[in-house]
Amino acid sequence: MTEQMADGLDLTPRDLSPVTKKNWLPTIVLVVVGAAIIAVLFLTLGSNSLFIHNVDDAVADRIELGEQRFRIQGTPLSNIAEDSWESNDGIEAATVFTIRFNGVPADVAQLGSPAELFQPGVPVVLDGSWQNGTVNVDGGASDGWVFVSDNMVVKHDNDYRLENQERIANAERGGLE
Amino acid sequence: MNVILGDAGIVLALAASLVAALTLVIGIRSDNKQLLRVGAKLTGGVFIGAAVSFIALERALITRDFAVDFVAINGTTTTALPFTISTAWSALEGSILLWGLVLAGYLVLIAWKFRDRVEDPLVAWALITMLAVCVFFFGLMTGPADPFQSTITPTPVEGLNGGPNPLLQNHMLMAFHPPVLYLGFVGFTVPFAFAIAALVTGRLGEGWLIETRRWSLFAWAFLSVGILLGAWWSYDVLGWGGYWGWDPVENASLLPWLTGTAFIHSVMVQERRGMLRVWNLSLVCGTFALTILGTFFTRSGVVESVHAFSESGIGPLLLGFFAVITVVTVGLIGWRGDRLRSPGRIDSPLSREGAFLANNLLFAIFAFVLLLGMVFPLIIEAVRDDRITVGVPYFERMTMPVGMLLLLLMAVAPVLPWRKASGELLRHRLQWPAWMGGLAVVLAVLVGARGFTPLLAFVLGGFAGGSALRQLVLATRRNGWRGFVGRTNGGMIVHLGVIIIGVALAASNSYEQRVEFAFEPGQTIDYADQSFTFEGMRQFSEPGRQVLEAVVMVDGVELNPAVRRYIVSGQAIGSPDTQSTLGRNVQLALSQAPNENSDKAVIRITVQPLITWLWIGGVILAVGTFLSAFPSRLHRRGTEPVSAPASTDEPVERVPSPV
Amino acid sequence: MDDSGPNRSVLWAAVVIGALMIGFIVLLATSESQQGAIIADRVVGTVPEPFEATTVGNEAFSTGDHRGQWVLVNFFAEWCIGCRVEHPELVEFNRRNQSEVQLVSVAYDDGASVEQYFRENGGDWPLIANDKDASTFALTYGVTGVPETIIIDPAGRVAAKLIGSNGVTAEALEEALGLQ
Repeated sequence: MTEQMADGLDLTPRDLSPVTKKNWLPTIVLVVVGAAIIAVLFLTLGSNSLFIHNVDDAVADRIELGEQRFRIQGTPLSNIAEDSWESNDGIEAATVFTIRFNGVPADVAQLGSPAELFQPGVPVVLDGSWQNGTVNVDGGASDGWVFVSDNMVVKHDNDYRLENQERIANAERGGLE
Repeated sequence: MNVILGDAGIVLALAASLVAALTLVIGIRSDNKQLLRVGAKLTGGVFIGAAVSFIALERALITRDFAVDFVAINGTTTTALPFTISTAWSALEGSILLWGLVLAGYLVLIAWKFRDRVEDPLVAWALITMLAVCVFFFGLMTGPADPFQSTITPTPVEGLNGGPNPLLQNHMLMAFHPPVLYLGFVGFTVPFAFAIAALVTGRLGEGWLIETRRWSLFAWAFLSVGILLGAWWSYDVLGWGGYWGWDPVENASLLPWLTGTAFIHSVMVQERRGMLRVWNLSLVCGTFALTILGTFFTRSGVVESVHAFSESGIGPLLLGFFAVITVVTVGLIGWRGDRLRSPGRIDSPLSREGAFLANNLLFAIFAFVLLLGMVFPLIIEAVRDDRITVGVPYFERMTMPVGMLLLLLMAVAPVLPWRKASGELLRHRLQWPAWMGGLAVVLAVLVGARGFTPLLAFVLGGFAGGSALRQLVLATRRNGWRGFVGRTNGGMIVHLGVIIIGVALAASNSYEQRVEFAFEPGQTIDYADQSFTFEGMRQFSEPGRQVLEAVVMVDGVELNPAVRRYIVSGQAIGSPDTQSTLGRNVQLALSQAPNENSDKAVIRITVQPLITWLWIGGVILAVGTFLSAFPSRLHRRGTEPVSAPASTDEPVERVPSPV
Repeated sequence: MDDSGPNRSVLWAAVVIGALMIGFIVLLATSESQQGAIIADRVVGTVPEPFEATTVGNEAFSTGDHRGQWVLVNFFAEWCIGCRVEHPELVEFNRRNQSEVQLVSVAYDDGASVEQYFRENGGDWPLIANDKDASTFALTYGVTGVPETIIIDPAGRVAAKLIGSNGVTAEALEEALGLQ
């Protein structure tokens, strides 16, 4: 409570000082930092992502893919052999085989040792790129191109590869009528 | 017989869950204490059903009852007994049953622990929530995840696949990693249930947090140890020194760990200052939701993973459950928002509260980075119809700075007082830890360590370790041996464990040396300051498999990297052999055995420092958690009046915060 | 701080987060599984070139020589349990339907041990067990594992592909091919 007193002290109520404006600085800093983090995130994501192609797409898009590193998926055939591959770093031992998807084959040179459980008939995922050349495989694609891979992942799972659980009647059909 | 028993168990568990939940709901609605007591007792039926079912599955596996599809697909006559037992959780249906069993176990433990308070609606609602989760999981088991189907004709006389995937029967840790991990995952159902109960009853004081503190802590410890066991297993089995691949399944287990760690820290702010209520509720519900989401990622095939579990129909159901949890949580929090106002404010960022906030922020960023990396391929596919995979460098680059900042925080936070600290105080208290940091890096450099990142990790690790040790020293000086128990002190021991793990991570990643060499018989090479001599091969059998091993002398110690060929399935996998010392690990893997074409053995040698400390740090972490569960002799200093545990039925009254 | 009444900031946060979560869940729900894609491989319904190979008895075999009959090409491996489970059924099926059906087995394995197995367990039909023909076969018929049986109808078209031994009984085969 204020009073106006006569003796010189000026106690008239002053205008209430304006409500201190909310300090926007911390919020702005937070938003800028946040945006910077998100930008870095997406940039790093982009430069560290590999495109995935099945063999048929990878073969079809060979020209566009060029020397780009990507990931290929397919199922190895039984023509697995040991060979070597000559690259810029010299001659390296490689496991060579053919993978297939949707009827399209591709020859592969896997540098270093293949992954565990690597065997014909079990789908694999390989990281690498197309290179010109041939490898010594029986009954492979032999089209002058080889997928040279340095990372193999075998798609192992616990499922018995039963596409149709019940009876033959439900088996993949296409003209039994 | 097994099928009947198993199915009966599942049905019993499901029925008991439904009946118990209904009884409790009616009991609350009609305020009938008798019904509430009955409902609590009915939870026993859930556990009995789950146990019967699980025993039936194990029995079927052990007696090789191939009439049961699960056994026919995953079992075999040649697997050794310990692995036969662990076959139960090596495939989808059995692992869901294990989840159900652990969940039922937690349920009856809670019903028993709170048996005197079951008439309290908060406890009753917590039980109802847990029962609802039981209904979901046991419901799954009556449908798409039924381990007791019997459809394969003709009845096999041998396992169709030659047993579980050989990678799952090669190492004893298979027996421990999933159960311990589940004890962690499922354990977070408890604080979640109490959070929901608090929201539903509107009693949002701190009571429920204190009640479930130990449960959250134990769930967190099991999850931490479970993740480390997984890393150890990968390390022992893979043969190239790796223990973490940023694979979506691994990330799925890390996500709830991150939010769980954030939670057990920010909970202390709520207890002490009554703040961050909404955040804590969101965190604990989010942690539980992430365990469900993680299970979804693992089993739905939506993200590419090396750990390809079989695809099944439960993916959409898990996602649906996740959606329900999210909607219920967000809805409840939005509805109860008015009772969630924090009476306190942060006075200064340079305070214990500020440190915990920073902790939460960092863990949130970590979790976001991880989740983004996992989900990015899905976004791209939805938007551009391109399939991509996110490489490991993204995760390493983005999480490393967060890890360093967390180490720094671990150094500074324990010395910060509540409310406000001065620079003076900080400088004084951090002196000793700072010297430790300096010492650590000097030692490292003397030993030959180079490189900015690992040296930075050593400095920060020493700094943080010094801070934790300082706290322990002060506490023991004051209280003798009791200086090791209690939340703060136990927490410091846990921190020490984490710091050791962090330093070991940095060292083993930065200084690994790896080479693959083709040895002639009798040849010796020198590598990484050690000598390796290949002496020859040896062949013998073990139950269900043929072993072909190489004999390699490493500075006089014999190591036997081998290949094990499983007789029934014909699959062969490598079994690396490791020499572990405190200083470094030497791991050998047999890439190629001598054959008719060549008598050379191609052996991969991986040398990494400090790997053993990863596991030692884990043990310290577990011990620290155990110790922190004990009450310390000091009474917990009275919490601010405004955040006293609420045991009344009224919502917490708003009281002006004391100056 | 707000006084009584709904807590606006929490409500807003709840709405925003709720919307984000819904978007996230929709994204997950509509994402295709990566698993199934890898196994898809359509050869059923096509008419592939006749498959020519050399049997273990060093004779020539060609699917083209058997137009007018159902040809069952069974992919086999001696260590494969499912193969051994279904083998007696195939033997029975062959015995009962000799004239309408021609079976042929293709093995990834070492020829001698498979021959031995066939001697001991029946299987009086051509057996192809050399690597070159086996991989050509796999290439042509998209075989990814064992046991798999390709059913080619009398007109030379791939009518069905049976993956796994589950349900493979002589009766079921006869019913499927309309041979009762």
